[in-house]
Amino acid sequence: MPGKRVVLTGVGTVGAPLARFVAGMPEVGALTLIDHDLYTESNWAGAAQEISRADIGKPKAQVVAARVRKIRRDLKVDALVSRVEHVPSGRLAADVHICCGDNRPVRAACSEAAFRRGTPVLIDAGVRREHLMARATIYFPATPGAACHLCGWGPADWEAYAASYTCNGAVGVPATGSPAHLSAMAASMAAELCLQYLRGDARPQAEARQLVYSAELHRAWETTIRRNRDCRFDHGQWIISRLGVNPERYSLGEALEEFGGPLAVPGMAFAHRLRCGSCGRSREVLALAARMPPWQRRCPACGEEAVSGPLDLLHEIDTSTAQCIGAGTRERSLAELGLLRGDVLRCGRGYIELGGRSIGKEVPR
Amino acid sequence: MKDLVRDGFLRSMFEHGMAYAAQSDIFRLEPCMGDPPFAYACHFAAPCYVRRPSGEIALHEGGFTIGIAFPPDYLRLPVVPSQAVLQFIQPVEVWHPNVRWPFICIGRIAPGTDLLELVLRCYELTTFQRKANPTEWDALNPEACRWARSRWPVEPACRLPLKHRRLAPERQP
Repeated sequence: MPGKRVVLTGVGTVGAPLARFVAGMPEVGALTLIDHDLYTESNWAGAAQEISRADIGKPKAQVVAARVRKIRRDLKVDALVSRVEHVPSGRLAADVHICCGDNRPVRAACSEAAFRRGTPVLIDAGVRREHLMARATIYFPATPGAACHLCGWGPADWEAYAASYTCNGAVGVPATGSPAHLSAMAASMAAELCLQYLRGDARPQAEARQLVYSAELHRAWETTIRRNRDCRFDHGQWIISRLGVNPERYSLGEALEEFGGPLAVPGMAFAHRLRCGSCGRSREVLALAARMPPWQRRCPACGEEAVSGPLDLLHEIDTSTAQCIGAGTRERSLAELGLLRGDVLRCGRGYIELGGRSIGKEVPR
Repeated sequence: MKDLVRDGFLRSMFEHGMAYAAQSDIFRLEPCMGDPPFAYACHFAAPCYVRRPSGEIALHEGGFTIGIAFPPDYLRLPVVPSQAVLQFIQPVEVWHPNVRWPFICIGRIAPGTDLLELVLRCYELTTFQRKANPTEWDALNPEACRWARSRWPVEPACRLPLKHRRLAPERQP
């Protein structure tokens, strides 16, 4: 069954070798690599990945994608330099989503995306320095009653989740400091789980299977994770209508009328005001805060970067909001607001994927 | 798609917040958006430290205002960072290790943390009744952090408790 689509989030010490393993699987026809990070001196010094000095400063996703393309020329490889939370949901549509993120917020986001889209398989791989442990877990989000990644989290995990962020808002997780061969072990375990599923040897089940290997103790375990009744995630799946709407040609006013408001992009907020922390001036805008380019953020008065606080954010837009924000707002295209093909909108008609493969009915203009 | 649990939480926050504000002459709560409100402007009639254009650090007697907005996932996920809920509105020149206008960091916020707890933490932190972030590497304002460390412990800008009411003794004829 050629042509399976795999999404790989995080191409660090685990994800980079895993990308090569996945690329070598003949069952895979398309591979999407997602990572917002750039290679730094520490990556090179660790020699954990096959990178050269010339790669320092380049996006990890692009470097790994270029390497993977050399392995198989017929493989369709995409590289997205972005946080997975900000990637249009449609770009995460896959048969297998593999998460090799180094922090809990990324893993939680991958798990949520896989459940919302009904991705058949989610694989999560990682390493821990304690007892030199490599781990790979396979989840079946499309199976009724399936456990999610958050089902296995206890209070300590939530504490670590909160501790992932520093006071200045950055995700500041210290490097695991695990040896490269341990990362390769985690990548191998994840690759084997992926291959088992692609070959039809892994039957979808509600329980997640977790493989753990300790290089220090020379022991391996297989455990299962069942759905946790107290899980903070609702495990809901979106029913998404894919419409051939081009966000560049579709205006906010048309979307509000056709789709029925209020409109929201789940997981993201619209900034309606930017405040300059340097000169204190503020101005009205309307765009997805996470996708606002630096030039749009720049304060016209002093040139410094302007930001939006929580009171400057809108989690949904309705007709009255669009009128309040300023003349001409309704005429602006969805692309001008930061929406991309593949974004999923929550609206009066349910969930709509923009610029989808036109499986659903075209919205009449 | 109404979230009844969230609406109930917001309604209860509104009632408790307004009742508390009615008992204080330092604190005033102003709902900003939504019904039930999910965003508030909290006005504090208490001094705070500011940096004047000359560079001098001085007490600002005109009070300060902090905004609070509850995001859609507030009851489910820990709020990280706290800038996703809190916003310093004025004065713009506020001087504090945990504040870089318009952001304020009060540490971790557990899911469903009460509005009044947020208000109290913001008030105590801004007036230095509560210890500010002493580590420069993750302070929002490292310069203010250095300033605070140089005069540790910083003299609180206001020592009054938030639930404060001035006595108005009845005059006997």
